[in-house]
Amino acid sequence: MNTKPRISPETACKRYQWEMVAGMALYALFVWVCVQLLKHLPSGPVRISLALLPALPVVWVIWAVVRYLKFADELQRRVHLEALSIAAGVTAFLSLTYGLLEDLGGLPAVSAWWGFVILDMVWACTSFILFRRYR
Amino acid sequence: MHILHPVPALPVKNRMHVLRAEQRWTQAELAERLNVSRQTINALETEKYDPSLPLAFRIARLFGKPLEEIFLYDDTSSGETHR
Repeated sequence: MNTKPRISPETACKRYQWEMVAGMALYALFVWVCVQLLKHLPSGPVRISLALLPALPVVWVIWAVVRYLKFADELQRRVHLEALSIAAGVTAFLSLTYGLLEDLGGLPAVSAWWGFVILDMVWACTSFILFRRYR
Repeated sequence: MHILHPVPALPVKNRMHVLRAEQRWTQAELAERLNVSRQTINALETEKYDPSLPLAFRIARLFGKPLEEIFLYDDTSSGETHR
């Protein structure tokens, strides 16, 4: 990239951390609100729309990640992209493996929500380990 | 597993630590001048990370020296031989 970033990588990192924490807090709040509201709502378009409400802060978090990677320096970008690749690979492998166990092995069905959790957990752990290598 | 091991010795050595000391800059000051993080400066100085060519040129320009006076290719550490 030839254009000079408008903000420093340190500022971008701090902003990303703040947006990530705020986004996930909003997500938790929206999930709680949805659970309370959906208790008394029948199936239908309104229920489906409300059930999607917690996805809104997640869109914001994804946007924050993309913006952070744009303003991060080359080492930070490299580490995060390597960590994301590993996380995507692990998530794909676990989804495939459990899909086989569920369909062919007769194990109970698991919510697709776990894909999000596994991807985030592996990404966080791998980033931590990879950044430690460069300290 | 690869990611659990420390970064292996890289064939490109550099004199960034010495040049920064000559300027009496801290790692944070150098990071600010190059618009990278302090951690990246540390990784460069400890030779755990090789900069991209554009960043190498920015470093050379900041110190006012040609690239080859800052970055040195060490054949022996990579195990390569001259052909």
